[in-house]
Amino acid sequence: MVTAWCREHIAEPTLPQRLALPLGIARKDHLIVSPTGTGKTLAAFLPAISRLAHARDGDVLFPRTNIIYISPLRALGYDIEYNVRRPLREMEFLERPNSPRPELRRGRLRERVVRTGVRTGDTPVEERRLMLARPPHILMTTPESLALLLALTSYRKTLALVDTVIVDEVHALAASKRGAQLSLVLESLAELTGPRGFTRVGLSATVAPLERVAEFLCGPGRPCEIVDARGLRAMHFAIEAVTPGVFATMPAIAAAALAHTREDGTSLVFTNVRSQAERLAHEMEQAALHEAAEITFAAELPPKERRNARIGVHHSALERSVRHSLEARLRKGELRTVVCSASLELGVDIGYIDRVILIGGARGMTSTLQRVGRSGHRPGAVAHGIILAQDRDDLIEAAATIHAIGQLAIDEITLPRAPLDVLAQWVVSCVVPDRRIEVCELFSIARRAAPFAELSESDLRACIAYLSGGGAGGEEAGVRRIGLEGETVVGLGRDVSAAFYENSGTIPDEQGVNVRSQGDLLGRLDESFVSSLHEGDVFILSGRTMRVKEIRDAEVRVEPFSGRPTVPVWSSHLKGISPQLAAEIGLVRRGIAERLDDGMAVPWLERVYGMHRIEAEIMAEYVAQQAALSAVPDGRACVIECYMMDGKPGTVFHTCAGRRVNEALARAVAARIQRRRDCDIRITTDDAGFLVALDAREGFTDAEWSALIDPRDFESDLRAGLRASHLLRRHFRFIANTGLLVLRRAAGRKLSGRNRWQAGAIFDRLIAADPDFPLVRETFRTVCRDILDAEGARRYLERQAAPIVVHPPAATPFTFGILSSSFADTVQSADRETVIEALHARVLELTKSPKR
Amino acid sequence: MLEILPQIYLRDDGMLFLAATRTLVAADLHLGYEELIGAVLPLFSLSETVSCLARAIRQTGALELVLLGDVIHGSRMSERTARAIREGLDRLRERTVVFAIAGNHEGAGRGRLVLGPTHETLERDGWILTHGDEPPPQTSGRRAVIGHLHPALHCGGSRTAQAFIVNRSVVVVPAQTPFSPGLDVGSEAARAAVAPWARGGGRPKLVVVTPGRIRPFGFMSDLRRLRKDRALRFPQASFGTKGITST
Repeated sequence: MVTAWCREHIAEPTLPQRLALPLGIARKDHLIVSPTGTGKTLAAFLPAISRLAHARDGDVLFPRTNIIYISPLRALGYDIEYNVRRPLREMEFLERPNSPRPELRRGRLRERVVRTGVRTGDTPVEERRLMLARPPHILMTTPESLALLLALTSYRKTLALVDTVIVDEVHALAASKRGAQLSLVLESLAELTGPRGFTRVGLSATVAPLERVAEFLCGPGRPCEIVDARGLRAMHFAIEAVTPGVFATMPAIAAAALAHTREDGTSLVFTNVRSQAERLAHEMEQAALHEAAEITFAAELPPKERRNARIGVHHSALERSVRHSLEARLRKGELRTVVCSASLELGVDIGYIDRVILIGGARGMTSTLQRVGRSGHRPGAVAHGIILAQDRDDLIEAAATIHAIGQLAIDEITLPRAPLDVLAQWVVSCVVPDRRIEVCELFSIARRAAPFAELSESDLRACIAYLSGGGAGGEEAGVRRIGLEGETVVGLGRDVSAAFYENSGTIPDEQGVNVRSQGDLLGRLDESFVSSLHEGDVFILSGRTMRVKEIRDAEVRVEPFSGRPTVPVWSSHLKGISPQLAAEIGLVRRGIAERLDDGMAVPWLERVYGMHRIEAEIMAEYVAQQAALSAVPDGRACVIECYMMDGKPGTVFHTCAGRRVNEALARAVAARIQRRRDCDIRITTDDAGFLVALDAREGFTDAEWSALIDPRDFESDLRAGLRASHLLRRHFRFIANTGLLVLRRAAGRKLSGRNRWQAGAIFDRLIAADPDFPLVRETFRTVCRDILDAEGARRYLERQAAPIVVHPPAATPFTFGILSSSFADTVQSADRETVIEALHARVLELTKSPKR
Repeated sequence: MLEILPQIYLRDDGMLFLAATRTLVAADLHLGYEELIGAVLPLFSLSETVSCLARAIRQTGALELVLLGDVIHGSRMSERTARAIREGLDRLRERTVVFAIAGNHEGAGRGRLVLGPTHETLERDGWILTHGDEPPPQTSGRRAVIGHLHPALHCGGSRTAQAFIVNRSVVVVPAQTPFSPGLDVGSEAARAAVAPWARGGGRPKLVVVTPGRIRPFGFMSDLRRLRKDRALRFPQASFGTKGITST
C-alpha cells in the first residue's frame, strides 16, 4: 500500500529521498542533510510508516507509540502533522473520528488504524488525558515534552515499543543546551526500549562539520550514515549598498527595501535585531502610504491601496496568536511583505515567498542559506536573496559570506561540553517520582550522549550531592530534590518531584513583561526596558506606535497613538559572526589592501567576489581611507588605535576575530588594565574589534598597550574580568533554574520577577561559600564557551604577530562601527558607589537650582 | 550614624537607632528565605543577618532590639530550619532584649511557633513601631517607624542600595534581607505606598546608605523628577566621533 502510494505521488524521488529511503528501510541510523523543500521529511517518515502498515497487516499493531518526531519548534509540529497525516489519509490508514476502538484478540489490544498526536507545552489537559488512554502511534513533540513524558510513570509504558525517532532541525539543536538535554533524553529512551532499540533519523540544514552533528544524533562511537545532499538548490544572491556614504538611515533602508518589494510576489525582509524589525516595518509602511498618496494625488487613500501598503511584522517577542494570524495571512497571500527577525528562519510554513531581503546580512553562512532558502520553495525554483548593506562593513561581510558559501565553507558548530545544569535536571528526571537507579548506571548512560562523552564521575557526584541536600561550603540545605541511599539515587515521591514536573526544561525564562492594549495581549517587553518606561512614553511595538497608559505589577497598558516615538526601542543581543566568517572578512580586507597601490582592487572584487562596480568602489575606497590613516587589520596582527575621547583615553583594538572572541579578549584586557590602573573601564565590542574607555586622565605607552595582547595567564585574567561584570550573574539565573537549584514555578504559579535578584545575591554567596560548586563552574563554562569564545580568544592571542600601535589624527573609518554602538558592559572597580555618587551629584544640583 | 530627627539615628547598615530609649530597629529579615522559596541551598542569609545585627548591638550598646516584622519569610518551614532560626535569635538574646513584631509574612500564626511571643505594635519615645502592612490609624499627630516596603535606590543594572524614607510623621526602614530588590524609591509605586503614612509630616526625604556611607538624598519627589528625565533613563553611552582627539 505504501509502495502504491509512492508510485502515485512521487513521480521522481529527490536525491535525499533516493539515498535515505534504503537506509531507513534497513533500520540504519542516519542524518539527512539537505536544504528545505527537498522532501527529506517524507524520506524520514516513509520507512517507519511502511513498518506500521506491516504491523497492521500482520495484526501486531498495538496501542503504543512507534514513531517519535522531535522538533525544536512547537509550531512546526502542527505543520508536519499536516505533511504526515495527508499521506496517511491517502493510504486510508489514518484514524477517522468514528473509527473502531482497538479489539482484544489473542489477549492483546490490536489496532487497524494509525493515530497521530502532538504533545507540547501547549497541549490542553483534556488532550493529554486522551493521549494516555489511546497513545498516538506517531507522536510529534519537543525535547522538553519528551523529557517530561519519560519521567511520568503512566506514559513510560506507552513509549517502550518506539521503533523510530526523527529529530528535525538537528543543526539548531546540537549547539544548544536544549540539544544537550535531548541527547540525554534519547539515552534514557534507549534504556527503556532495551536491546531492540530504535532507529535514529536526523534532518538538518547545511552545517559543518557533519560528523559532529551525526555524533550528536547517535552518540559517540555509534555508526551513523550521512546522506549529504547539500547545495542542491539553486540560489541567486545580490549585494547592494543602500548608501555610498558612511551609514544608511532608516528611511533610506526602508526605501531600498520597498523598491525590491514593489515587484510582483511576496517578500520576506530579515533584520538581525527585533527592534529593527519594528522600526523598519513602520518606516516602510509610512513610505508606501506616502508613495501611494502621491500616485493617486489624494489625501485619503482608497482602502485597497491602504491594504497593499500594510506591512507585517513578525518576531519572537510578539504574542503567539499575533504571530499565527500573521503567518496565516502570509500563506493566504493577504500580506505581500513581512519584516521579521530570526523568528521566520526555521520551519513554520509561510507559503510561497518570491524573494528574501537581508538587511545588513545574516551574520553567517548557515543563516544566509537558511533565510534565503525560505524563498523559491518549489521544486526547480531558484531562491532569490538580496543583501542590503547598511554600511561599508556590511558590504565586506556580505562579499565574504557569499564567497564562502560558494567555496562550501560553512560556520562550524560546537556542542556544549557536559553542561552540569542540564545533567542535574536529567538526574532528577531519572528517579521521579519514586524510581531508583545506581550512580554508576547514571554515569554510563550519560556518557553515551555525545555532549557528555567526557563527563567526569566527580562532576556527576557533585551534582547528585547538591540535589540530595548536600549544600555548599560545609553547610547542608533544608530542601532536597532526590535522595541518596549509599550508591543508589532515589525519588522522594510525588510532593518533592513536583519541583521537577513544574520546572523542567532548559530554555531561559526571559521573564518579559506583558503589553496589553484594551485587554488584548500584544507582546512582551524586556524587564530592564520596562523599568525605564514611564507613563506617557511613546514607543513602537508590532509596527505601531503606542503610548504607555499605565505600568502595573507585571503589565504595561498601552493605547494606539499617532506621533513620533519618544523613547528608543528595546535592544536585544546581536548575534556574533563565526570565526570562519571573521577569517573570510580578513581575507577580503587583505586582498583589497594589497591591490590598492596598483589600482587592481576594484577589478579583483568584481572578478573574484562578483561585486558590482559601485559596491566594489565603495569597498576599495573604505579600505584605502583606513590604510591612509592607520593600518588595515586583517586578522594577522592586532591594530591598536589610541585616542583621547572627551579628554579620557579610549583605545580601539582591531582584531577582525568576531564578536564572541572580542567579548572574551575585551574582558581579559580590561582586567589587565585594572591591575595597573584602579579605574572603571567601559568596554564595547563588535565583530571587528573592541573599545576600552578608561575613566582616567592618561593612557599607557605603546609598549604597555602592546603588552596587553599576550596569551600568558589569559584564562585567569578573563575570570577576573568576568567576576566584576554582570554577565555571570545574568546567566547564573538561567543555570540555577535549569539545574533546579532555584525554582521558576512552585505550586502551579510562576515565582515573581524577583527570581532574578535572588539569583544574583545567591551567586555571590555560593561563590564565596564554594567556588567549586557545580553550578558556579557551569556558569563560568557557559559564559566562557557558549556566550563568549574564550578558547578562540586564546588561540587568537597565540597566533598573533606583534600588535601595531598607531595614533591616528582622527577617528579612522574602521572605528566608526564600534563608536556608534553603545557600551555593552562595564568592568567596575567602584561599581555601585560610582553610580550612586553620580546620581547624588544630580540630586544636589537639582536642589540648588532656583527653578523649582 | 546620621541624626535625622532629634534622637533618631540612621545607620549605614540600614538599621535605625532611637537614642532616647537605646532601641535598635531592624526591618524585614525574611529569615529562612532559601528554604521557603524551595531552593536547594544552605541558609546563607541567616548567619549573615545575625552577625550583622550582633555587630550593630555591640556598636550602639542597644538595650533592646526591635525586629520590625517579616522576621521570617513564611511560617511553614522544616523543624530543622525553625531550630536554626531560634538558635540565631538566641545568640542575639544573649546580648540584648529582643522584641519581634509580626508582619504579613508571619501569617495567621503571627510567627509564634518560630519566634516565640510576638507584638503587633510597640511604642518608644512617642513613635509607634509597627510592620506597616496595615493602613495607619487615623489619629492626628501620630508618628510611626515602619518596614514592609523594602525601600531601595535602584541605580541601573542589578545594582541597588538600601534607602530610608523620612519625614516628621514616618520613618520607613529598609529591608535587611539580601534577596530582595526592594521598592525603587524613585517610582510612582513608592510614592503611593508611603503617602498615607507620610500625611501631615511634610515632603518625604531620602537617605541612601551603603557600607561606610550615609547620603542624604534630597526629596523623594526630586528623584522621581530625575527619573522622568529621558537623558538619564536612556543614557547615550556611545561617544560618536565628535569628542575624539589624537593622543
